[in-house]
Amino acid sequence: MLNAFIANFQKSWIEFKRYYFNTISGLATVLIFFYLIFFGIKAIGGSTMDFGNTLEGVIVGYFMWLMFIFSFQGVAWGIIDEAQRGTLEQVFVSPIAFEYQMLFRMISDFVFNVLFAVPLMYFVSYTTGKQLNFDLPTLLYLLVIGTVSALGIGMMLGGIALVFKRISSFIQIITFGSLAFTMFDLSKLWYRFLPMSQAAYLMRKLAINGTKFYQFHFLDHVILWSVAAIYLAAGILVFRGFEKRAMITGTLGQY
Amino acid sequence: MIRVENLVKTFPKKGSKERLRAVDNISFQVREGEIFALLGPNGAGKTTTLKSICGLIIPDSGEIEIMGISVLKNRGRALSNISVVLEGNRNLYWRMTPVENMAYFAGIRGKKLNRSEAADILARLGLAEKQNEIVHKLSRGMQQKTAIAVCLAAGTKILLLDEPTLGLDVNSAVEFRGLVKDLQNQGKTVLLSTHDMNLVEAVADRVAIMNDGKIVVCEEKRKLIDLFAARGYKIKLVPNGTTEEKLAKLGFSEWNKDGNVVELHLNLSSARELYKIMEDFKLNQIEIESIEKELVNFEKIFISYTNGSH
Repeated sequence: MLNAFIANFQKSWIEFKRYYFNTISGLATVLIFFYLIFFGIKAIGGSTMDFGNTLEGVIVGYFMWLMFIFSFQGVAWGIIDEAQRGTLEQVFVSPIAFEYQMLFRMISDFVFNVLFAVPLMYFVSYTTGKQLNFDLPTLLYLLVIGTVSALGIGMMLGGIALVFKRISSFIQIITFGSLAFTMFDLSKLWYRFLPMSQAAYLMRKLAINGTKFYQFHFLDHVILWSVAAIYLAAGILVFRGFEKRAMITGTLGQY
Repeated sequence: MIRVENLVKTFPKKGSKERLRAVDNISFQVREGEIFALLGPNGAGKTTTLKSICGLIIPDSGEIEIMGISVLKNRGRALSNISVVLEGNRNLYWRMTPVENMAYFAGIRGKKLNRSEAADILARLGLAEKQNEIVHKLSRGMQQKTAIAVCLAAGTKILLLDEPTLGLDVNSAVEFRGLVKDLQNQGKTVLLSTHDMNLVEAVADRVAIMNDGKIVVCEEKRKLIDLFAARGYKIKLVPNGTTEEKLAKLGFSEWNKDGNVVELHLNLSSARELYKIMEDFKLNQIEIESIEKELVNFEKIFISYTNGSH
């Protein structure tokens, strides 16, 4: 298992290097899109707007959203990409189940995403003049546990991609829909059971009030972990269902 | 090493409630150390069979065992004994080098590939100089060798090769035949799925000919060739104006006329049949110029079985 994880991590790193132009342009897009949102909101409403509560909240919400979409899109696009390349079946014939391979890739991608997202978050807070109170252990705790629910969504989309292949429009819908999860006013409890929302809610407490992970209410931890567990379990179940379907219909490698 | 028993796989037909029987109740075994070929035309069910063996397709019924482990019940353990080169040239990561592909595919099987092992495999396949080139810059033949290198890096005893000579030029295909033989000499068991009869003729120990989802014959290659070689005769006759009429009268339906020679190709079940024909010709005053035993290649055997004339 460790070797499989290392292999997937190394592959992510190799592809990141080989497709460096794509990586750099992706980062540039992230920043441009952020500044458009940030200065747009500032121009029309300033810090009193409800959208994401405050401009500080917008920064946090935006990066939570990025982590969320990078995580679930990584899986789905990964499967589509492999089906197009023709390597998907070759990975499937490994004795280590494909869902583990996906999980290892998601963890690898997550590490790369964190390595980019955290410095970017500091960068934008500096360039926008908004001081954010980041306690790094709390930040990583929320990113890791929060992203688990995104991985669950990613596995669901990955499963759907195995059977239907061309699901890019569906992924776009989920992507924009997910913006709401991290930008909503999360004072209502049930909103926080949406994927990643509880993490975004606690992240805002961290960013704005400086609340550290050991200062969160016990119920907040329970919701955070429960949301992660529920979406991951659902993701695995849905993925297995679609995987079996693709194996019965013999469409695993088709695109 | 591999046992396939009563395997059935159907797929829905487009625009119909009927189902297509891609694999129709086939059984065969692949023995240790042999090169076993599944030979058949496109759509015969070879790839479906191969994909069922490597767990990519769930069959409707039947059993598949790899080294005594059921693929259907214990997929992971069964697959740990095989490595596969699937059809086409897109079974590798084109933006990665041969070494990186080998390390990745070995790694996802839980195996750490060490440098000396990788170097040894690449050297054996003549890829040492290309080990750091990106796969998409390699020739088709080199890419196929890289796919084999990836298989060997997995360190399994059994290799499954699906249409391995597809898209190769003549030289590469010839070189590839030697490579498959080398694999056998290294103690590997090879299951080939192909419609390349030259490959089968050159390397296979046993052959299962598939047609319409069924195995029409499963036999040692040598025996198949001997069986047909014993039967093939080319008889040249000297025409005298009534020869063709007499041949028709004796029940022959096909012959070639080339200048002053009438040529008959016969498949006979025994030498006695040949003597009987010679006697008939003598009685009917048909002059025989020569009788030759025909060389049989796999193409003839294949056509004979797949068109139902056998």
